[in-house]
Amino acid sequence: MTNAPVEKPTDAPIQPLSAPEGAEQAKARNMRNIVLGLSLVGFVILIFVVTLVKLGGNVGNRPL
Amino acid sequence: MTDLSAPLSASEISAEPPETAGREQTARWQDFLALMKPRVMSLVVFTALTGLVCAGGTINPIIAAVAVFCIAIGAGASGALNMWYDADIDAQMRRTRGRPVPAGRVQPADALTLGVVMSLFSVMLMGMATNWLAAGLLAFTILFYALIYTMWLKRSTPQNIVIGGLAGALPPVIGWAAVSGTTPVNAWLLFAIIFMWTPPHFWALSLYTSEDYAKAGVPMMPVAKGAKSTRLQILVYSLLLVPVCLLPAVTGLGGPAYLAVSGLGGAVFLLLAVRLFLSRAGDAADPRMDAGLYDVRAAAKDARNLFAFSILYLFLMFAALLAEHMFGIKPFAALSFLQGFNR
Repeated sequence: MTNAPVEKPTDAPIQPLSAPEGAEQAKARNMRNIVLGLSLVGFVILIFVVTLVKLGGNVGNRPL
Repeated sequence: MTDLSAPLSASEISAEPPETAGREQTARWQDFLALMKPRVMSLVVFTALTGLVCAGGTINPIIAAVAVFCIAIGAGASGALNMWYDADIDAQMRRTRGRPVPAGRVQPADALTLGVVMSLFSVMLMGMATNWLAAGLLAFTILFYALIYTMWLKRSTPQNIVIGGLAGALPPVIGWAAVSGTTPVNAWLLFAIIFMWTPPHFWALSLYTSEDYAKAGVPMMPVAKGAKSTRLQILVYSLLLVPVCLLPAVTGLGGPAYLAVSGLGGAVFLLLAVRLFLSRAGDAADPRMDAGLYDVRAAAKDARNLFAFSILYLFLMFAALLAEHMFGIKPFAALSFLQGFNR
């Protein structure tokens, strides 16, 4: 146990690190995230479909 | 993948700089889309699709669509890398200062990241979905446009768009390779058409935007060699372009519709190039010339006419080829005496 002095809370307002995000900025960020999410889903579907087409019937004909 | 279709729009040529220039703003998703130059992508998609269809081989339609998608994304990635590197130039030109990076809407590092990630994605997917010849050509195209054209040629030589046009001319070859795994003479003929078409197309544009290029320190032909020399070189390239455009009818690639379009269109192209040569287009911005205001204004129209018609000419030729191959129209037997160029 150390006897470090405990800082007393002050009434001074906490200074934000950056300017608060406005409603328009929040909306733009949300839309970017939605488009990024949809792009990732599209990427997964694209790879899945290409894999299916490339493999074709060979999946059924593989040696077991 | 050069900016082949970049006509000035009213919004792009506003006299005042954007109020928000240089200030950090919130990027919208549309800004990231704009980084990929959708208008250029559309022309690249069209020429690549033509190469793909003209190859005539058998390819699964889904794989064909993926191949065209990869070429479009590769073109977009090149555009993003170009906008990242050229932000300083873009900020000084009326036509480009509203772009996302110089306007401060997208951070340069974000544009670079988008370009690199999309480049890797498009090349890897092309290789896995089609073949590694097509993927290698796509990788070469992106690297050539970003490293050779954007970072080197554009700022160092008036031949920048001549050599850089190589990247813009490759998409039909990539499309052809995606289907057949080869690049026969006819595929390179499509390449040659776009390659020879690029200088008169771009120099016609630069004749009436040369003040911007001069301000940005880009040695476009009218800036470096003067308007008169540029008009002569446009005429010379036009004289070389038209015979090259007629060649597909001889090699069996194009049929009667293509011959009609390339022949009649070529005649109009030459007429417009001669009128431009005889005009005083670009003289207003050329300190070597003493031009009257009326002459210059009238002549700028000649440059605009050739620029606009060059886009239509290329579009119509590729559309004719696309239609003939989709609907199975046979080439002229009497004319197409050079067969075997499809292999």
